[in-house]
Amino acid sequence: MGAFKLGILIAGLFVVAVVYDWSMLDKLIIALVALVVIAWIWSRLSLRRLGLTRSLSSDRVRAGEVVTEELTLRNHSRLPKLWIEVRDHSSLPAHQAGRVVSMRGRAAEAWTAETRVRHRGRFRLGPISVHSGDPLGIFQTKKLIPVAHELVVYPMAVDVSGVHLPAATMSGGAMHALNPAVSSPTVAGLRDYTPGDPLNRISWSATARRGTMMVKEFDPDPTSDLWIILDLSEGGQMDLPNDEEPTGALDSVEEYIVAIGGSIADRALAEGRKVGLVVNRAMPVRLDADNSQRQWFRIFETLATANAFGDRSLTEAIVAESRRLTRTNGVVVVTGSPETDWVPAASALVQRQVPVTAVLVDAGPAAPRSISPLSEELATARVSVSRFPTHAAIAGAREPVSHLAT
Amino acid sequence: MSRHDPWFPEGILVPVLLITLVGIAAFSVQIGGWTNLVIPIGVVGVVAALFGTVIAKLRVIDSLAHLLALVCGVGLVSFMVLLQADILGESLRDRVKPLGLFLVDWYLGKRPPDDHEDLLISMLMGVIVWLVGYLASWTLFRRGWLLAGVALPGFLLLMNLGYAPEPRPWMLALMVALAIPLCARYYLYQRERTWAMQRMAGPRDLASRFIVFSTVIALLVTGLSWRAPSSWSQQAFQPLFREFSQSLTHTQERASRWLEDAAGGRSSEVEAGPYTSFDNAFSIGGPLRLSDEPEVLVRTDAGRGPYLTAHHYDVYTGRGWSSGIDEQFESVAPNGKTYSPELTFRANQGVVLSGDVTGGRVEQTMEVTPLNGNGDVVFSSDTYSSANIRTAVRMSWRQLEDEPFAISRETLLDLPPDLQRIGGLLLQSDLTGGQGKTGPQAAEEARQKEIDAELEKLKGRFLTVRWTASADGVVDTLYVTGQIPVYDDVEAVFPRETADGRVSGSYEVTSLTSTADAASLMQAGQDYPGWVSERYLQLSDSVTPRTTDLAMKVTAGAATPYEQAVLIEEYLRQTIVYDENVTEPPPGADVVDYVLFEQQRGYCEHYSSAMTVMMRALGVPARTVVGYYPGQYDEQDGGYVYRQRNAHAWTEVFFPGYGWIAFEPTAGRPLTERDATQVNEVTEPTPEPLASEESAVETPVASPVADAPAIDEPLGPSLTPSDQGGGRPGWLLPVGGALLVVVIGAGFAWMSWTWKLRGLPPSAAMFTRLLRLGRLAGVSPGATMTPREYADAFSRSVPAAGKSARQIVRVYELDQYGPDGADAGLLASAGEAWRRLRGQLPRMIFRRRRT
Repeated sequence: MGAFKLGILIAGLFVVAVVYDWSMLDKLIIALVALVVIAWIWSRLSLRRLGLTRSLSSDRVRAGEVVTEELTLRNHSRLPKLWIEVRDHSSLPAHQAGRVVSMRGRAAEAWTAETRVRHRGRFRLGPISVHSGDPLGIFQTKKLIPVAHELVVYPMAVDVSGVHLPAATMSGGAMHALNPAVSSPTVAGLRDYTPGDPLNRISWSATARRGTMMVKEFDPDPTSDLWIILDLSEGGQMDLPNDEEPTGALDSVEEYIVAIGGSIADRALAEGRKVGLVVNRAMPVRLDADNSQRQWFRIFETLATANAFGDRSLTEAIVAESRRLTRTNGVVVVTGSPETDWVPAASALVQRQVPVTAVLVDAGPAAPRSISPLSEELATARVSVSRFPTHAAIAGAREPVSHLAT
Repeated sequence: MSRHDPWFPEGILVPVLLITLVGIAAFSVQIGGWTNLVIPIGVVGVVAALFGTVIAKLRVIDSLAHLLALVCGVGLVSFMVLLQADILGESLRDRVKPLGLFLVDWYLGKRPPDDHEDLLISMLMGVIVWLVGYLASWTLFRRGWLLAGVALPGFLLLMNLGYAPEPRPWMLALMVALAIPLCARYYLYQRERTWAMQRMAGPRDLASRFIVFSTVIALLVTGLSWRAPSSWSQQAFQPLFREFSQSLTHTQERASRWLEDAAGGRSSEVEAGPYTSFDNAFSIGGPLRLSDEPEVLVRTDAGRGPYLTAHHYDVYTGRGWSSGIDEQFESVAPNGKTYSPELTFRANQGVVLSGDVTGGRVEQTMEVTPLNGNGDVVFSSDTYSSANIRTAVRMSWRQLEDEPFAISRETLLDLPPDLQRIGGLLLQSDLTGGQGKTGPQAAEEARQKEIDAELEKLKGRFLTVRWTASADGVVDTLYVTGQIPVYDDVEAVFPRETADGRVSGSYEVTSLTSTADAASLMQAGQDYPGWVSERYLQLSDSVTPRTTDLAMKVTAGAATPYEQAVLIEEYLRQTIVYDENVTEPPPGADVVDYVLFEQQRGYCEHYSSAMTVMMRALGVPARTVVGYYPGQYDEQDGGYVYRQRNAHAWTEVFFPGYGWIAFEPTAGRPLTERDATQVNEVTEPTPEPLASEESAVETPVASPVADAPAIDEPLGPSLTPSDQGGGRPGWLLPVGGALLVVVIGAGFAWMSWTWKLRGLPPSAAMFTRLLRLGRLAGVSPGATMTPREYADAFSRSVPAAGKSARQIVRVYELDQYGPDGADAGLLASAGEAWRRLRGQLPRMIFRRRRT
């Protein structure tokens, strides 16, 4: 029963009361008017002196993990609040932070909203609006509380232990099992200190000599550079049926490419190798190779929002990067496209002794064309091939993967 | 949130409260004073609400549910009535058939026997309560219409409390107190559904909190309202409402008069309103819609409320009644001015009535207080005599063209009142003073001056008088040219206290009420005055022979007009069924014929019309009267309150010497009382002879106050100048009407053009206009067209307007999709483009038609 209908009813009763000199209706009209007045006052008071706080367990998570948010609504008024509807306007899918609360005066109500994030990306948690009104629904009132957080969801981790990461062909290098304190024991030179440089790289003797803070530069490890080229050209993408938790996020070839790329980068960085990233699309993204912790974040922040855009052939991407690639680099190309036109470019890299590994996302029967011809051609061109079947890849990812670099 | 019961997700309290509300409403019917209800209506209501709830919860198909409800309801009520209907038979089985026949008879319009009325009303009320209970539950639980669920029993309760002899406001208070928690709980249910859809968790005990809080509100609201003074709306707003109503009525009348005037004069045949308008004409037919709004308050010592007369009618048109006075009256006087056929009377100045209409009558005075804007007519209780306010009396007129009137001392009072003074002067004069322009002159100079002065007065009334005298100087004949009023033939009386012709307060009216008994009326004879025969025997050409035949057949054996009137009155009361929802007669049909032979149903105007026409068909003068039948006495006001529902029409039959006698042909209305014991009180109808010459001269002749500015004589014949002036050309109405239609049409077109543009940003509004214009030009937007594609299509279709269209679309795109929207300059350029485009509209339409 809204205020409008009630208003019409009162007006009608009033006209009847006046025209027909019907005094009994007067009492009914007064009752209805009193009801409207009480309801209006009630609704005005229902959202006064309210406070809301919300806190997030982490603002960076990987797809498939659970994000926890704690919300606390405080009633600073002495008057009770019969019902308050807290609505969350987050952009994070399936985030259920909303709740209906009934509170006594000067009381607080806290609750936790846990959401398993399925999709990578940047999401907004909040703002929150609170709705309330009188007990009869005559008047409603609402208030927007503009408290919001940003949540970045990194790509899901998938099992890439079977993927061969190409190492450089130069001698003298060896891969470290753990992330070392320094990337190389060979000091190549000195440079001025810049904020953020680790303390253990400061050359105290040079600092003393020069009178300014100096840090040591190390020679790159001949086996550490790994370039990951992700093929996010729109032509090679397709949606995949996948409703399973937590791998529901992998519902397209694009997501597989990004997840595989992220997992390879994660693995390589964990092995102490420098990792560079090229996202191949109409507007390509390129991150120079680095093996620092910041690089991990750079890569994953990039991958969190990377999406297929326009068409750019892999050949073009490989050719563009080949000028920078030497024997000290290894290249991993991740693609879902069965096109073979880039095989010669990859073959050319191999001939220049740049090891190349191709990770082919195999959509199996869902794909319009088989990926086998590409696989065979790559093998012929001495490119190491890892096929990543979408239906089987999930097995390795069923366990929550959360080994964020720390 | 509360745990949901699969049957009653809204909570068990909702059906409980709703059934209680229906029970209260039904109980109000039980104790509402509706005759003697033989069945427990309260139980019917509760069962109906339960039934509706179950049917709604079972989700039975709507049509089947309603059919089931109707069958079960009628069946249950019939069964309950049968159980109590001992008068219909011994066993239940014996009672079924009589009850069925009785209901069929009732349906066919036959009046039920008195001892069966209780059964009928119980049956009807039972079914009504059943339907209310069923629909209230069904609409709430099946459709979710809370307002309907609460309003239906509320409406039933209000109706009963409003009409019940003993008001029981506590029932209303109880209903309000229960309805508020019901509404609150149902509202919570609706919110819970929304919350469930949004997967929002909530407290489990919210329902109980809602009920507690809403109960507190209910008690607060009920306590507040029932402590408040009653009748505040009447005290505060009734005067305002009356004033508004009066103003509205007055404005309507003015507009109506203006339109009539604009059409070249009022016509009694054109678009007459209902009889309740008390206007110069009314149409018969159509459903009657009268309210209980009080119209008139009458205080009288008569011991009962009288019939209030407002207007008489002489012309039967076949579709209604009208006044023939306007046609009879020469409105344009020799001086070129226009007058209306009304005479203005001072306060307490009586209408001079002749012995033709005053026999068997007694004076009766009553105080009349118009209510609710009803002060534009002066009511009388029978034959109007005088009022204590200034009035305009509408009466019939005689056209005279050198009309001879024999004159002697014995016949002086037989002269028309306006001529009695000159007649008296001439009779008192020795007319041997030589021949003058108007006749023999008085020998005495002073007398001649008096005669000349009276002649001047008569001239001021547009009466020309000449006379002849015998050789010994005694006047013997008057010859009169002009028009004179017939004072005996008053048609209506209007107040002239204020400039707007309305009464603001009370006034006293003196009437001559007939006390003639049946025996006297039977002896009255048929020697009708000329004005009676001329005006009140008229019949429309539409009157059918079978109507006349019926009148003769019904009155076969009647020896006198009175007996004829009584037989026709009785016939109509018994034959025609009273029904206020009758249909209009077909076009071209005579209303009376339709009522008598086809429809045989109607209300007062049908009865009275039929009687008047049948009486006239028999050669007996009769007329139709409208006014009010007696109202109910109101202790508080100390008088009889006449409500709109009392508006009435009846028939008056003329009896020589006794004047107009009222008859009540409407079934259901009590017969007019004519007590035989009053015979001895009847005043002799024969006029008393003139006592002396002096008294003849001094007899107060009809001397209405002069109202026309042109007439200075205060006691002169008082033609009232009409507002018509010289009249307006006849083409004014159709042209004005056409102009009005064009203006209204343009208004609607403008509204429809701008209505959907409300709230749109300027660029979007212009784009919408472009789309509309495009449709006129034959360029319809495709479902998948972008604005730019539409602009291209528009340009291809109307190349001359392409640039303007593209400009509008460009600004629209920028405003809608651009980062900063369109600035004022761009919007102005789009506005300019739109104006250019609009200028090309005629060409576009023409081009479209040509192609």
